[in-house]
Amino acid sequence: MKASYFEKVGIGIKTVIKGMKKSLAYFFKKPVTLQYPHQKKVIAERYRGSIRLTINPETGKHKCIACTNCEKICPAFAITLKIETPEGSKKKELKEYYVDLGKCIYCGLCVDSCPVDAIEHSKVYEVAERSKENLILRLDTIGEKNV
Amino acid sequence: MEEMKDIRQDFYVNMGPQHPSTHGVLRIVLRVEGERVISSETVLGYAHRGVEKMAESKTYVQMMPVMDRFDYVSSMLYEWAYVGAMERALGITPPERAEFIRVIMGELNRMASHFLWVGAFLLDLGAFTPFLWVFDARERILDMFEEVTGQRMTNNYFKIGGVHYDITPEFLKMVDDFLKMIYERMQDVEVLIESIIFLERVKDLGFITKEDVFNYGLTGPVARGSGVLVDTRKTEPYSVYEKINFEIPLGTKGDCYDRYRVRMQEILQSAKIVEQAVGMLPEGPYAEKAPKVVKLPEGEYYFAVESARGLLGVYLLSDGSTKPYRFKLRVPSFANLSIIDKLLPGNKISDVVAILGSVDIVVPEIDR
Amino acid sequence: MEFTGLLNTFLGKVILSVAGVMIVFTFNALIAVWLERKISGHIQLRLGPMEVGPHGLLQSAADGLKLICKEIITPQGVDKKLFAMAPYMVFFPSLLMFIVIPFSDKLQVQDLNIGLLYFFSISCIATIGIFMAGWASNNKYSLMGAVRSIAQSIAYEIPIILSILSIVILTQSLRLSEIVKAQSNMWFIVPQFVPFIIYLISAIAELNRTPFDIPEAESELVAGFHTEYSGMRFAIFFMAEYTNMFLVSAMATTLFLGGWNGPVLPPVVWFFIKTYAIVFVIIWVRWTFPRLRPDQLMNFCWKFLTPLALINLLVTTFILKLL
Repeated sequence: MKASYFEKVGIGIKTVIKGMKKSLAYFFKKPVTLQYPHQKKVIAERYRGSIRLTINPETGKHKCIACTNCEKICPAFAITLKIETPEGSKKKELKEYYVDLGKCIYCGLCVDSCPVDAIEHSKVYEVAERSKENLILRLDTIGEKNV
Repeated sequence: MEEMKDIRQDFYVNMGPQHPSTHGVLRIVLRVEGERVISSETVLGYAHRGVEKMAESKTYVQMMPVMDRFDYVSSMLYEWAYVGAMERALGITPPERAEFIRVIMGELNRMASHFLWVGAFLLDLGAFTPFLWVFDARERILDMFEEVTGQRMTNNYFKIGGVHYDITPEFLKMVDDFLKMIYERMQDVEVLIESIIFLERVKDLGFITKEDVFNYGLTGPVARGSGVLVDTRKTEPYSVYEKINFEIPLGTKGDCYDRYRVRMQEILQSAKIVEQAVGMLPEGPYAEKAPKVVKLPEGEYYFAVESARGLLGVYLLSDGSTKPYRFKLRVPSFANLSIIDKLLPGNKISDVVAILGSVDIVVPEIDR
Repeated sequence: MEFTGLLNTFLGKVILSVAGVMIVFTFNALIAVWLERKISGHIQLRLGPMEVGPHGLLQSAADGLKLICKEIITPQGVDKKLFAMAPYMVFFPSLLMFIVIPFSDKLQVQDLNIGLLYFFSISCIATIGIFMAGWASNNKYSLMGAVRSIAQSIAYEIPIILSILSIVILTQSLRLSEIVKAQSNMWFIVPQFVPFIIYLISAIAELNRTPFDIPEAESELVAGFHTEYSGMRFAIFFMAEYTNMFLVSAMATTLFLGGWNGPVLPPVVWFFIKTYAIVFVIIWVRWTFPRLRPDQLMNFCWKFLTPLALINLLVTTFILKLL
């Protein structure tokens, strides 16, 4: 009984001093904080931010062919397409393209499933809004979400 | 003093669904007498989302991002189990480069989960500093994930036949820098944590015997802390784990301190595995050709991996269509939680938090 | 006081001392909170407050402003008079303890000849305030927290008094200015290192800080005696804790580190440097260790600190008798 009491005292003193030395050593190290919003992190190439329609550099318009692959594969039902068949042609055309950023889970299945690469990820991650209606973006008229 | 004996001295204390220490929405109803716990009852279901039913109305590819969200601290291990079951069904074997990439990602996920566990365990006990030191290490792992997969936590990286993208040379450089700093950081964290106060709080508490491990179906560090070797990577090897040299740390007494030491050693072993896998990485394709529309043949398929908490199994029953007929997930935390009602009585209220913390649970995966 | 003329009258001295105490108290409340947040930040590899003011210096003022603007909620079923009085009961003893502290050889409000005894007896009154807060809150968890806090406070008084008794034996006086003057050659920490450690540990326990902060623990079941307080009343509890931290460090400086003795700088500056060095140590200990369980806390006090203090007292008297 006596031996373990003094053992504990010995272990106690040793570990307390070691622990305090270690935390003091870290006190003098350089902090790793990035002060957002003054300093922002460098985003990786493949980052999956909010989606946008790719603009074809030659025509200046989007490449969507209204195949609705993205709408069908989205697990969260975030994409809504409005399609029309104009007079005198058999091909379907995109009228309106909506994405609900409140439902989107940024998984990237829509981007993978597009056969013509019409949709891509931007690097925008600051998508907070004050009302739910502002989160529904119409993508065929704007290039990406205006921050 | 006959009347004094009839007065009940015990009362109910509710460690309610909203509590800083229960690692999620878990409710434990304790009957305490003074400071001692007499009995406890765990109430689950506060985080139930009906995911297994949701899986029956989603195609196999659509279910993949949902698998991430069971345990968002180590999400790729869950994807691995799901993808493994589907690959067994379709008879596809991923190429070797993909297998090594999967091993690297899986072990990094295991380290990230254990980092978070160490921080949260010490936070419950009142030490605020180790939490931030290990989160700095975890941030570097998440930066590595962002580099390769595109997202920090819920990655959606594995697919049938391999992985979505190849790893970049930048990633290998980040892994190198990370491995150089991790050994020293873990040593510093250990020296800071293991003071006499921590040892007194955590030693000789919550003994789990070897019979308990078999009776309750415990797996993972909870079982290994009691000295029982249950690790899917060694007992039912999958992927390329047979080619890699690593040890399984085992405890001796089965108390909270042993479980803590097992997890700390596992972090170092995972670092060793990542080092070896990066050295053995072969050239070649990173994914096999997989069918565009995934239809599993009729039958039942099962695949198990070793997640950070224990044995994780995915069971798929398919009727030949594009959606599963039944999807079941065998989660380690559900079985590990059942030991709590046996461990808590007889201990003090302050020990409840320590014991619950040492049996690392994640409530979203229990409630599914 | 050195100033002549009007200020030499009794009224002048009273007004000057009240003003001095209020200035030190306010200055400390702002600086100590800022120090705690910055030191804890740097130990944890992060920066701490940076936005409000240069390097976050005005953060405490912003927090105080926020607490003043909050709604004062009085829950149903509380004992209204006790509930309202409890924060002040905890806070006023701290102000009273400023009276005997020797900030320099001429800056001391009242040099009582029982200065040391006065200091520690007044500090016990705060315990009544804690009990009032816990009882009046009509909340079983607050009461449990208050009871634990009182048990802790009363138990740790014993090692404090025993460790200070050896200083009294060395200087044969309870007057604080004499104790400081007796250290002009050698600080008392050198012969009395063990009492210094005992005093520091017991003082941290008296302040209800980690590793002894069971009464305030957020991650345990019991939320603590000040759960039901909001707004300005909570701010008063908070300020009382930080003022107590300053006072305990000031007493440690006076008794063990030589008070205002020092070579080049004016005595007041030395006093503050030494006091804030002890404050730094208290903050450093808080962010390193987890917390003790209540029964381990009591064990530690009765089975380790008290015997150690008694043995030290014995050894000191023996050595003094032999020399």
